[in-house]
Amino acid sequence: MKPAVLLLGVLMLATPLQLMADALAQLPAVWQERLQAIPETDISGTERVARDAITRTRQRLAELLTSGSTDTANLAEGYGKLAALYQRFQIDAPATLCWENARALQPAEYRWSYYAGYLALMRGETETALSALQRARKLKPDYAPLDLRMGQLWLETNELDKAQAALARAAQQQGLRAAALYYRGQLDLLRRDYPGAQQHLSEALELDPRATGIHYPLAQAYRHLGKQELARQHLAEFKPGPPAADDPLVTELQRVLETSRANFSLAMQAISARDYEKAIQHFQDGLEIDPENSAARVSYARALYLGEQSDAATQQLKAVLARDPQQTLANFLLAVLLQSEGKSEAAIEHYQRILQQDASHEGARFYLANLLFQQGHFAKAAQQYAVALAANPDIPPARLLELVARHRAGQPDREIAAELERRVKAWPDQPELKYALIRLRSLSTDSEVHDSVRALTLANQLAPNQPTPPNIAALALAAAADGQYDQAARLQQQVIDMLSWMPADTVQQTLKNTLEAYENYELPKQLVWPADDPLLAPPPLNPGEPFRHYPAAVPY
Amino acid sequence: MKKKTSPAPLTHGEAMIRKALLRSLLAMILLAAAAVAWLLLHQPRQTAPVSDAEISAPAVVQEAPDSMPPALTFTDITSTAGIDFSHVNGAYGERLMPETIGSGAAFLDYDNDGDQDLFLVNFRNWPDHPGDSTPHQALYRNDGSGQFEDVTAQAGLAFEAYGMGVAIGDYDADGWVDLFVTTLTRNRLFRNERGQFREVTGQAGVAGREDLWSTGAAFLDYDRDGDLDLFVLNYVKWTRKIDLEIDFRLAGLGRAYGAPNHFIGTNSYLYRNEGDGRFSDVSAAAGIQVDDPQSGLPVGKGLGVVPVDYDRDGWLDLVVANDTSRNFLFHNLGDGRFEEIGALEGLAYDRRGKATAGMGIDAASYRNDPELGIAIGNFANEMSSLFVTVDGKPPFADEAVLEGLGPASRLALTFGVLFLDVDLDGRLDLMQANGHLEHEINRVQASQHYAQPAQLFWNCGAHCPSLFVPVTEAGDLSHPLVGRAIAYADIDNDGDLDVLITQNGRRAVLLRNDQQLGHHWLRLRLVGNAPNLNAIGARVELTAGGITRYRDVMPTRSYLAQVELPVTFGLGENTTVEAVRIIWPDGSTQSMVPESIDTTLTITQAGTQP
Repeated sequence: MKPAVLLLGVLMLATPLQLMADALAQLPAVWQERLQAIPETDISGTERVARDAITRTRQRLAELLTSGSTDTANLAEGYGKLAALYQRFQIDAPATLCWENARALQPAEYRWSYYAGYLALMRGETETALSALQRARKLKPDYAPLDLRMGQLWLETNELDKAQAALARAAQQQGLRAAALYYRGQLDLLRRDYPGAQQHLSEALELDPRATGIHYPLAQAYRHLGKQELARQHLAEFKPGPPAADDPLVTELQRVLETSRANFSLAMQAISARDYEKAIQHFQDGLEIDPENSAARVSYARALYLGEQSDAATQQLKAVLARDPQQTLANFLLAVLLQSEGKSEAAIEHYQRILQQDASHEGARFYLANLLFQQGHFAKAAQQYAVALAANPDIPPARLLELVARHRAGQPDREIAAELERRVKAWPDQPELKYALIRLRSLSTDSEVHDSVRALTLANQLAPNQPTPPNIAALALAAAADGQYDQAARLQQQVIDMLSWMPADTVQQTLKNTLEAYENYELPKQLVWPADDPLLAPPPLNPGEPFRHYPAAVPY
Repeated sequence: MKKKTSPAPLTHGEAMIRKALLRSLLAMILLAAAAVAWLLLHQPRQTAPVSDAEISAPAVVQEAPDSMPPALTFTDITSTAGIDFSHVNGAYGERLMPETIGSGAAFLDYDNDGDQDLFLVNFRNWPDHPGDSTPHQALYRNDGSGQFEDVTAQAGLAFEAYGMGVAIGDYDADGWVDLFVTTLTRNRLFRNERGQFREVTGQAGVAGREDLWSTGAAFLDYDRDGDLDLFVLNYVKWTRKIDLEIDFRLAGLGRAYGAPNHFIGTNSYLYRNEGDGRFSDVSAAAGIQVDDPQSGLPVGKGLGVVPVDYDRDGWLDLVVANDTSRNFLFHNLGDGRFEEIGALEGLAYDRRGKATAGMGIDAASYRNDPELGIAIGNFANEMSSLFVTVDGKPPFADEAVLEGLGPASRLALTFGVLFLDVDLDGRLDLMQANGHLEHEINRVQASQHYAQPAQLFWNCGAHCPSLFVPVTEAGDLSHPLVGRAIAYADIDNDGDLDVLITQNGRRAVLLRNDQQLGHHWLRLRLVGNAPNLNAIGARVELTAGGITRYRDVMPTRSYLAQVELPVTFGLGENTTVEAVRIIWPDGSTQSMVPESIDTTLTITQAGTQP
């Protein structure tokens, strides 16, 4: 017996997929003349709640189809629901078939024709859209949004007179007026009626100020009217987003399933608009539906941090890592938070964990390098900067900090100088490199490195173009190195005057000591690259930067 | 010969009025015919009854015959012409984005024998899936009759690369056009040494970064110092790791080729020619790096570029088609810098303010008036864009719908676009190379197919209800292709323009133009002052039959492609040319009256040393 059972099991596993297809894909004979088969499609790309809803709806429909019932209304509703789900997630081919089946079952029900027409309109299948919407019109001539959709359709097909008439009718409906005027404005632009476009689009904006998409065509109208400043203002306000249209059927379609992704998408938009409170709410709503979405939870943590809920952000990141310890972005952001709290060792551990998984993670490597530098582990810091630059030479701070770290770790001046010269030549527009080289050439005790002429040449390139206090101080130093102490003193005094607003402290004292040295015809007793020089050290950690800007490959 | 004063060409407004008048006249004729018919029907009865069958219905007015496209046929001569090139896209199953982009092509006269040769860019297999062969680029020499011979190896171009696009230009002014190839990694510059190409990337300093994905490129003299500089577009920040991490999925298909809106953008390069074989990267200083003010990330995802002087101030500007980001218009300020003003000038977005998936691009005065049109090929379910100036100056308005291009182009997924006068009637037509990204797209979108026919839109002229009329049957041009780049040249010296379409992962297709309409033509090859010997950036105005037509000497058009350098004017039925006026890249002008037509003339800039 057992071998037979085993054999049966093997045969079942080997059964081709189509024999296991549901009744929608393989219609019972009684429905084959009337309905179209709806093959199963790969929905692995949709979120879990959507997959569950589609699967459940197919199961219910299959039960109805095989039950022997002739309740066409119920079946039509089932196909309609399934169509809406497919359409919601842009699985267009089965959606179209489902709408057609619903219509075949209930030809007098205008909804099915309207949805089919709306789907075709969104997909640019204008002929299909036209016939479907015209059918809907015959069945329900008083469904007001039909005029709006027809107006859109005529606009797409260059039937401008018809579009104008349809949009004029739609504009008489309060809930459709903004949208109708929005499309009417586009029609005006096509006809080069710029005053008309300006009038209609301005009113649309007044009616629906949240429809930031109106700003673009309105800007075009102003631009064509020669009102550049107004055009620029509207361009600055522009974000995609047409006016809302009071279309109950479309609203029902959008509400067919409360999805996490819809919430996450709104959350990301809120983050872009810096409305963190709204972003947090949407993330919470989305995570309630899809609590296992780690990527979304990381984005949620970002919104919390940017919304000044740092502790809650930490909690969320830890929750992600408890489930998925290798989640890169969570590790990175948590490391940044730990670093900002002074928990350096814990931060280092997280950075290193990321780099073990992904040696190319630029953020982790650069932040780790900075942290090691700040802790005085210069050799290790230099190594990290070097690896980062080998992968991507376009990290300006790293170009300098690597050399500073190497210098602090004991590398001789002449080796540093040669490499720094090369980098100054390669990146002539990076002033910090020149600044560092000026100091090196001015103060190095290695006679092969000390070169006051070179230092002065560089300083004369740097300071006049960017007369900041450090650059003028560098010019003063180069002048002193060249024996021009009077000039150096004058320049140094200028720096002191520029910084006189700063409270008297060690910085001011250092400046004055330097001035005194010049007045005594001496070079200041300073390190080539002092530890307290902010231009020669990693920038202070600003945790907000990565929370706001570090790109997420998958935000949810 | 006394120069005739030609009537002023119709402005668009006048053309619209004329159209409306014709429609009114037609209506009046119909009404009159109906009135006559009514009167006839109401005449007093004759003794003999009139049979119903003898009453004629009002005459049906036929459409004016010249509002329908003429017979236009293209013939696939790829094999018979000796071209045996198949593009390798490296696809092995993971669906990595670069596998969908395809590669480009260039027509160029690499051996200076007067005819157009063909260079085809190739991609390669991924290192961990090497495949059976080692694909390389291909150079085919034209024998002058449209027969080609593979000379890749002997010309020194049999190299392997993740090849994307190509730009041609004589950057060192030695009289031989050079070749720049963009790739997924480092770009490559090859100096043409009398028909032999030698790589000079390193010494020229134009390799770019290993981690930047370059696409379109153009040689142009942006600073008007005479020599050709180099502009290189970059696409999205891509690595295999990023691609797999994003794991883009199409509902109904599973893992799919990544959509560019999921990737971060990158900035492009501008290299200034220093005149000694080297280029300097002036990208940052030139203002061509556009970052989003909020995120600080680059906005650009460039695929197509066309250099054009859109405001006619004598300085070449750059229009960039970005993929799912707003298009750029880099306005040349004349001092070495550019200012990006695409949104202000109306060509950044479609009319609803949406950034389309722009890929191929071309620019031309297609109405034979001072208006400039910029066509951009977009994604499936996005109409092609046709941005047109108004009253001869910016800003632009998207008139794709008005001109008949919009609805007909909406379903197709368009890559290369080109303006070209296919039938030599003197009006520029528009051709598009189409093809999807996903082999199985038809499973989830019934209206979409992987291979799609190219589209030809015949320019009917201002008197027609729609200026662009789709040509439904154009011979082998209408066969479905996985189209990407499109380039044109007169390969057989018969005056009309033949076309090369590259396919992604398939063979390139050479289509000979077999129109037999008997229209006249004139081709002009310009020789400029050194160092811009090919006069790239020159504008040519030709007046015949009272109509002035405009062409720019600019090989960079379409998508990852270069068209031939000579410009072609269709003359229609005209047997003489009233005037040719050239605005050379240095701003000087030159006029002449050609004594012959149906030929290729070489016009040398005054003051040019032979």
